Amino acid sequence: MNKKPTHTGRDELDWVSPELISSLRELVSVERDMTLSSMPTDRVMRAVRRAAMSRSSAEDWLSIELLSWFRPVFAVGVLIVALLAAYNFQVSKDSDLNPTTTERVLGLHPVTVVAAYDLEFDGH
Amino acid sequence: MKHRQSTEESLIADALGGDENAFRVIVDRYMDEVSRTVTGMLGAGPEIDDVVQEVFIKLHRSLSSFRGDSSLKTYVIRMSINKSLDALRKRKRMRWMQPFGLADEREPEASERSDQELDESDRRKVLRAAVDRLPDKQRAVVVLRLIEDLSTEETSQALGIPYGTVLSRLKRGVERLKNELGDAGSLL
Repeated sequence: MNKKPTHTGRDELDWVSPELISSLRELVSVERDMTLSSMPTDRVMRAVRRAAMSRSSAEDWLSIELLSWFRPVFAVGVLIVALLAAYNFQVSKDSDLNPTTTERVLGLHPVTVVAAYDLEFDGH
Repeated sequence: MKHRQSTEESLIADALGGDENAFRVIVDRYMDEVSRTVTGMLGAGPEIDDVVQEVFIKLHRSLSSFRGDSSLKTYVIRMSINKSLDALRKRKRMRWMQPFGLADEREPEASERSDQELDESDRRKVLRAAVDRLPDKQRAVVVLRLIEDLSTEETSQALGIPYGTVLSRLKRGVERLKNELGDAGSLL
């Protein structure tokens, strides 16, 4: 059975030339010293702070914008529903039949057995 | 600083609670690993600083989703590799957008030069050119396994690939490096 070894990995690199490994490490060490700015932690912390602030301010801005749009839309929506309900109620009151309050508010036509079986075939 | 000796878990908990010093200790603790990994992948270049910063900004944002399945070190190194791969893709896009005449000129092959010509700086350039010519996936394994000295298991976790794939990519990567470098004895 091909069992996965538990290891730190050093022994597995026996076949790789130690010179190659040390040259690679030296290369990266030199390149890093050449390019990485001094005080990297301070720079990173400043960048993290800036990113966190811009992110939270973007979220704040978005929520404020959404709220400012939502409030008038909600108010107008409620007004339209109330007007529609009042209109339906008024129209239903004038009808000969006596619909329920729900039917009046929703503007539903009263359904009766006669109305249900009152079939009309236009044009026939 | 009170966090210097703190465990990974308590540092993460404190950082998530808004303790900036705790996150600073995390940055300090993994700065070497991140900068080595990013430099190994990209080579010396102006974008190293930015990529290192991006890694830690991403870590700061995603700390809450760290579940502890692997060590924080592996988690951070995975982010470093991903950000480096993003930078490499960006670099390739930029190269495509350049007019042909302005494209980067490749380093001459090692075999084209005599040993005397190769001083330390030249040797490093030749080695870097060879590393840069590795396919991204092999380069990531070579960087983590040979430069960062992660175990095969850790490398497999960091890259999210099977154990055997790490070994085969490492083998192919090292073979390719040897071929690129020609007579390794004269270069290394």
